[in-house]
Amino acid sequence: MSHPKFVVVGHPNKGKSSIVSTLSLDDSVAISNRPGTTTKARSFKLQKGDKIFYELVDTPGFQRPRKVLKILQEENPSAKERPQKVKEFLDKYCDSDEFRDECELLRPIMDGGGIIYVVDASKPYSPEFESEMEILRYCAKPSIAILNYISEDDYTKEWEEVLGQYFRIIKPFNPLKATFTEHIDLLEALRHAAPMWDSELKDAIKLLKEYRDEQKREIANIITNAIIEILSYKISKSSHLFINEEKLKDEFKEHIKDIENRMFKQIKECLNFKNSNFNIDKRDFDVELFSKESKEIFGLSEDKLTLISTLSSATAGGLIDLSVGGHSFFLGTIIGGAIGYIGAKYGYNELAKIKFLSNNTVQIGPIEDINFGFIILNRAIEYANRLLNRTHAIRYDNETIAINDNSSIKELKKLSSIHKKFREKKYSEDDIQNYKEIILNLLK
Amino acid sequence: MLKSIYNLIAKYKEIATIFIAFIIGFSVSSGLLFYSGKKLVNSLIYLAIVVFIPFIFSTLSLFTLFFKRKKYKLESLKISYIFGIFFSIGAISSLLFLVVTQDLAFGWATTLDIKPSELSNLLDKIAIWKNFCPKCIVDEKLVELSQFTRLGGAITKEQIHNAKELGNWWRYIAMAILFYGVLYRAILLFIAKILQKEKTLKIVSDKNQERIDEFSSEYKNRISLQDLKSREFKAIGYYIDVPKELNSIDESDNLVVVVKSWEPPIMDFFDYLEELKKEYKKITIYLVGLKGKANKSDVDIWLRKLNELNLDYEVAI
Repeated sequence: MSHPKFVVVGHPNKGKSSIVSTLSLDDSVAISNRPGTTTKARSFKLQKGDKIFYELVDTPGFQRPRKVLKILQEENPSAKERPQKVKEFLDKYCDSDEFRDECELLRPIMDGGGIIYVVDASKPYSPEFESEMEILRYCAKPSIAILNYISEDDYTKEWEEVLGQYFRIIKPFNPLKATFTEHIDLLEALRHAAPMWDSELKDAIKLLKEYRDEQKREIANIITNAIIEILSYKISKSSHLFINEEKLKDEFKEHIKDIENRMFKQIKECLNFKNSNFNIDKRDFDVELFSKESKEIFGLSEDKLTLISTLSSATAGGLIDLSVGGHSFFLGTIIGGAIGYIGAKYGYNELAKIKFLSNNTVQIGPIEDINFGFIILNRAIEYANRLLNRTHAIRYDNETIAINDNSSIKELKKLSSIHKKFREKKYSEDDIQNYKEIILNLLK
Repeated sequence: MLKSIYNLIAKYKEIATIFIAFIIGFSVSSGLLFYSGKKLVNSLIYLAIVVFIPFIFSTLSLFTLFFKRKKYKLESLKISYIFGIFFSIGAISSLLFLVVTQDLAFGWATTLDIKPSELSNLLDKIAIWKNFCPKCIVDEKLVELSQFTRLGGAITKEQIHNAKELGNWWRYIAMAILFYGVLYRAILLFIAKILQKEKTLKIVSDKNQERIDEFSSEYKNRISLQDLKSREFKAIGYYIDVPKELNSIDESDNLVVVVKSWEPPIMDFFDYLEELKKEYKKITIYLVGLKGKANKSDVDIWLRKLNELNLDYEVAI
């Protein structure tokens, strides 16, 4: 059996292209708030490798539904004859300029596509839509109506009353705000609307969920690799080439920024955002990585940082206590904690130290500021989450979302200790796995 | 769950307000009228709490109603008036109920140096209903009789003797609630409703018009709504009713086609216009906005399309 194919139709400017874009996870669909942006039917397949999950056809809006219906109704065809009438209409008018849009949208339906009829339920219902629905009824294909909400108002009730007379299934779906769950719900509704593709759509839903998990794992991979690279990064130079400290620091920072940008790009590509040239969030991500603002927005608060550092050092001190069987009266724990506290409170302000080594080389890095690992991680998670929750129909910049830092101290401590290992390049495969798990939990 | 309760309340807010206000009014009034027979009900406290303090607040709301109504929603003022009206109705109901089922005796007491004649004078001035219901006032004699002091035995022999007289305060109190609690607020509610209507009309006719003039001035065939109204024409609606403000005359060569600006123009509409063109000398397209508000981008879409097709029509918005 062929893959499921649905033709998205409706009045002009009702968000058909947005729906196609969101459902096909493809941001190359042309979308604008000017009616008539879509002039030709264009097909978008959601596929992975050779496997096509489903296909959606974006179409121009109805332009002359009254006239078309009049032609179809000539000779008063019986229900059985109606699809034939539509075919005859297409044969007769396929070259005409007058019914260009209608032919564009009816042809893929008559070629075997199911119908997704889109209305804007934020505008009132009007009888002028009836000719469109009547024409679609003539096609006798599996169909579903989608209530889109382009503006704030809500006329769902009056729409449902009318659509209920033409469509068995009516589903609200806002392509700009739809979550992944809502996307899956809509596919479930399509399964009911088109029983002939039931098993294909069931597979598609399963594959899509797997695909989503796979994407998240891939993102966790991308982030982990980038963070290891950043935290362990060092520049070594022959001291002859060393000009001044500031210049070396700048070079160091530039390279780290490059790694971060490469990570953002990889996340974007992983989630199929290939064509949109949007800012994920101007206000937050334009904040320079090394700036004070970035530290304030993405870094841990001083209190938390102090606590983690104190706890970590106390644990280290505790190990000494254990090794002497407690004869140190737990001074190790206390002193360790105190050192950690002072260290976090007054030290580590510098990002990375410049060292002059004995063999005539100057070295900068790795990063010593324990907060930096959190800053870069939070930025990455925030970026990924914004994209994960952004539909492919959105053509504008993201809105600011407040950083929701609800990781537990225990988790932060764990992250902090892994960061240390990354810095020193002394991590094990287990550390990497643990780190990826934590990232996966933070991805929404 | 919470959302659905909220929606339900929002939907039936007026009924909910009426219900709650009535119950509160009834309870407060019953509490104030509690009378065990050992001391008199202080009519001044009752009048103050049930009638005059709410009256002062309602009067203060006039300021909001006339000067600050843009800031405050008329809707919330309306709800507060409805609350007041039914609070008072609840209070009257409890008063009448107790008057019928119990023997109430009212009195008055004050620490201030107020003579019965002075109070009587004041009460007389307040009683704007006295011509309409002469029985519903308290005369100087009754005021004098019903004064009491709490110190050293509350009720005098004279008061016990004239117990029936003391009950006569109820008519005055009931009238005070009716006039200052119910009728006064009903008038305010009426004004609020009129102002609300006027506000929605204004959106169509002036403020919004300026905004539209601003963004559609480049369109050459645009005329103002005022110009349109000054002409004689026949108006028809394209899948929409003709607005009442358009004065349609059946036998005119000029046609005004009313269209919904919020739906983008499609070729069906222009085909229809072509047909109309055969019958009418001049056609004006009148774009109306949803809920009286024309949206800039909607109007832009129409104007652009009309420009594109270069049709010989006038547009009024």
